[in-house]
Amino acid sequence: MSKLTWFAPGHPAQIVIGFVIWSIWFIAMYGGLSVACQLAPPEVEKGAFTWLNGGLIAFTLLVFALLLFLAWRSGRYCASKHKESDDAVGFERFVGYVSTVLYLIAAVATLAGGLPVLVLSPCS
Amino acid sequence: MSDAKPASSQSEAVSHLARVWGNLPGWGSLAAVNHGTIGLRFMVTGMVFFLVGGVLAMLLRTQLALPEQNIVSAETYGQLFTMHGSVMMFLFAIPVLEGLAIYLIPKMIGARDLVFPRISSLGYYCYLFGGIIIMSSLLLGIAPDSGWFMYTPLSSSEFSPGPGSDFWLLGITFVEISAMAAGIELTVSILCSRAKGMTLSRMPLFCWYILVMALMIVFGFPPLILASILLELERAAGMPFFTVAAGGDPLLWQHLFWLFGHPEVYIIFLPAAGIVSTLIPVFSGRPIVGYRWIVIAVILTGFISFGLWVHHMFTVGIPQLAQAFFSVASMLVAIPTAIQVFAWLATLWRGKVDFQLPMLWVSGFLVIFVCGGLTGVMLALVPFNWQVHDTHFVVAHMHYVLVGGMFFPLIAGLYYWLPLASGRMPSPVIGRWGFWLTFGGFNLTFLLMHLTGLLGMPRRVYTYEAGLGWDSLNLLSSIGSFVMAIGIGLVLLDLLLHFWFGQRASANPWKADTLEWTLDMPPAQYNFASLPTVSSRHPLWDDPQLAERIAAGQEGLTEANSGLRETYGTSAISAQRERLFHLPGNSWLPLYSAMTLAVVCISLLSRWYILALLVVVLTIGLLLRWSWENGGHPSAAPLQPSDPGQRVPVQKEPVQKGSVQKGPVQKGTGHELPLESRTLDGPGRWGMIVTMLANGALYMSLLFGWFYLWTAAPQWSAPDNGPLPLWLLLLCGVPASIALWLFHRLCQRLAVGDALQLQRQLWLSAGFGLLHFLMLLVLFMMAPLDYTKSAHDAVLMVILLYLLGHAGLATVLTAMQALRVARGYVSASLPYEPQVIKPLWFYYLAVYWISVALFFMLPLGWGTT
Repeated sequence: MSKLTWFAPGHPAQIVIGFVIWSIWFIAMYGGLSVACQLAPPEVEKGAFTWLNGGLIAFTLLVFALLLFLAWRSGRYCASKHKESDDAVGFERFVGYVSTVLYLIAAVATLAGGLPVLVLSPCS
Repeated sequence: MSDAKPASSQSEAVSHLARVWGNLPGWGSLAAVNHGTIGLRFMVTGMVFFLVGGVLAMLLRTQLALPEQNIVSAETYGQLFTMHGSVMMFLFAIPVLEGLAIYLIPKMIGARDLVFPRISSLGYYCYLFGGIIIMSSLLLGIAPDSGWFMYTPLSSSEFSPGPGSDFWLLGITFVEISAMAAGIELTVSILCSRAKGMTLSRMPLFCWYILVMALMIVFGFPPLILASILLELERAAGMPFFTVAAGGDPLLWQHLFWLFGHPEVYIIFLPAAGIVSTLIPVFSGRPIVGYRWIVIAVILTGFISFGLWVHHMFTVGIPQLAQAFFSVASMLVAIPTAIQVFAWLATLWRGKVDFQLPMLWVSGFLVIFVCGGLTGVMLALVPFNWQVHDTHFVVAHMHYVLVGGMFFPLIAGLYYWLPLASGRMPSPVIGRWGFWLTFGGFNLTFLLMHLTGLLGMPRRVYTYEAGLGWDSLNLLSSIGSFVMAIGIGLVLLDLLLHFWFGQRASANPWKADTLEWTLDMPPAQYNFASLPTVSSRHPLWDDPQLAERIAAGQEGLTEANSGLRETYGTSAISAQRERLFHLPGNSWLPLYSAMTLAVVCISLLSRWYILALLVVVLTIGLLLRWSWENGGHPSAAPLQPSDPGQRVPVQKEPVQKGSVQKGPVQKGTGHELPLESRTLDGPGRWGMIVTMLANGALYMSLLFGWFYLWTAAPQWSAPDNGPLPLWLLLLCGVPASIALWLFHRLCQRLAVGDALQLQRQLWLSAGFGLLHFLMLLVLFMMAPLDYTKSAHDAVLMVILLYLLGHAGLATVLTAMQALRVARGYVSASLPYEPQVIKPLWFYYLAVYWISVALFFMLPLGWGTT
């Protein structure tokens, strides 16, 4: 197997990076919401149209875009390895496939988790 | 792979392997560390606790069978349901699955043992003694009665003044040592000791499940360990982490408990699902459909299950938006489960299913678990959750998920691997009776419990009035539970009787594809007469002669000519053989260490704190003695005359001349590879890194508690100025930073074979570590912390103690390294051990500076709150 850095597509670390990013997003959303509601809670009357919701959805979209990009990069790598047949490449193809799908699911999970920000008041 | 060997030579090699790997006779077997022995002990002990938990359940159902009964009092009922839940979750479900994994993993990955055999043994004894301590509270009539999740303030001193909560907190924490030990060693073993050629993409699915489960234990258990420590500190020392009036918050317990508790459901489910993913292809006679998708689903479950904990707390008053995050995550977790269910169904659809006994239990699992999963999605919806919260509906859902998702696959697995462990087949007749009675009884008990829940019957009430519409449903539920008990009794009877009356099993009786079926039945302690090379996901299907070649000694590491227990160390990614792991043999140290820990536990329960402190010191001494007998120690793998004077670089096969050898080298025996203590990497280093991940999870939980109290505790208050001068804390960090720098530099030098003034450098590093420790100790002593009056000060007290403990440990281990250099156990030829300790230093320094920033600097900006 060729030597790969952890950030390169095909490295086994790619299998978990997508959901590590999702986990950081999840903690930041929940933690950020709690801290913001403690320090500077927006007015309840404004409903979902607050600076806090704006920030949270912007952050969500940013992470969503990042995960989509990583999925695309991983998918492209996987496709490039498709025709090679030796053992090591087979393993890298496996990692590429698994990480592509996990990046995509992490992206969908991020978007799905962030959508309530559009309709719910943050601190009530 | 070596050439074929003459039969007499092979027979001699096998006898030698048996002598090297055998347990001691008689009482000496208590010193056994072999994974086969320890795994079986875990499972047998777990089944005993299961019987106790089952009897408690029968008592509960007897009490609820009819309205207004007084067979047991309300107080006793509280103890019964608390102990039933605690025993089933902590003393049965997790340990029995750990035991199964400990027993099977080395056999499945083509190794001779797990990489930390003494840790396996310590884990078992901690489990056994912890379990006995918890159970003794029931016999003494002082068992905990606050429910298996021990919510504060019900479990706090005010409402539970007796020792019941202490038994739970100390006993469960003791048992958790065993779970953490298993989590760490299973992770490292799967990553570092797989058969040559068994890349991650060829690994049996069961191993994927266990790998993810083990990592979930590593990250999931520390929050509960922390919560238990904090609550015990509150009860014993009056530190008010969960007391509102002093700035604490009882909801912090719920957060920490469910941060562990929800992942724990999946920690239990994943190994069981791993059994299902192993059995379905075998009994369908074809490879599983969607191997890669199952791997994806398992990893997905591992992550998402950590984002659901708040769905257990939807009724406590959390903001709607936060509830929505957790509601969505709770629904998302259905996706990986669905992927697995569809893959299993597709495999069954595409194959020709042979409905033997194990398959029957798998079918029962599919029906029950899917129903439990569906009610789980219902409970993920906040409004529905509010309606049925704390009713029998939740109890029914939980049992569908846990009994369906864990118990049925477990029995399937026991029946499946029974011939491997005993060499005999179970009785199909008794087995089928057992299954149908259990399946029918289970559904009668718990399907109806959904209805009593929907009709409003709350959980944990010891009796109920007649005429509320619950009477007949409860009676039928109780009848069902007894039918189920008879079914389980038959299964256990079958398992017991088969040892005497079961038919002799033929080789590979289920025509399975994984490596464990190449072994003798029952297997020898060393597992494989020669360690295999794997070239596909289904080694026995694709290479039917493999078992014969292994038995004939035609694969690797056929000799134990060095007299050491050894197995191959392979690269985590490409599964190439890189080194030999020397594994310790029979040892009493794990038993002695667990015994002293049990004395600590009992001393704390009895509030004999001086004795507890003395025995803690003794325990630390024992553990340090344990760590002393490693690497180049004469009782381990000392340098031999044949060892070259310099470190041997790690190399992949084919082996070059000049490798470290122990004893005469024989071509093809596997001894051409260096022992890990002669290289820079090995299981100890990996184990330290994984341990630091667990440690980091504990620290993050404390950090979470700190921020949670700050943002959510109603009476939180912090002083304007911190308790310690910031400049002193910054100054205190300087010697620690120097100690790490020195240690890192000497590791780098050792890595290139330079051991010049190694001992002096280690002493210097230890000296700076000691200076840091003493400065921190002085700071701790001078800190005006009112830890019984203020949650803020109590948390600071805990973090200072945490830092002191780590600083002391890193310093002592560094000093021991210096002593080992003097004895010749660490040198240019034995450069491994400092590489093991280095991650501890890095971890500690990172934690120190983060703590200074977040616990002492950041609050300066808070002001009084």
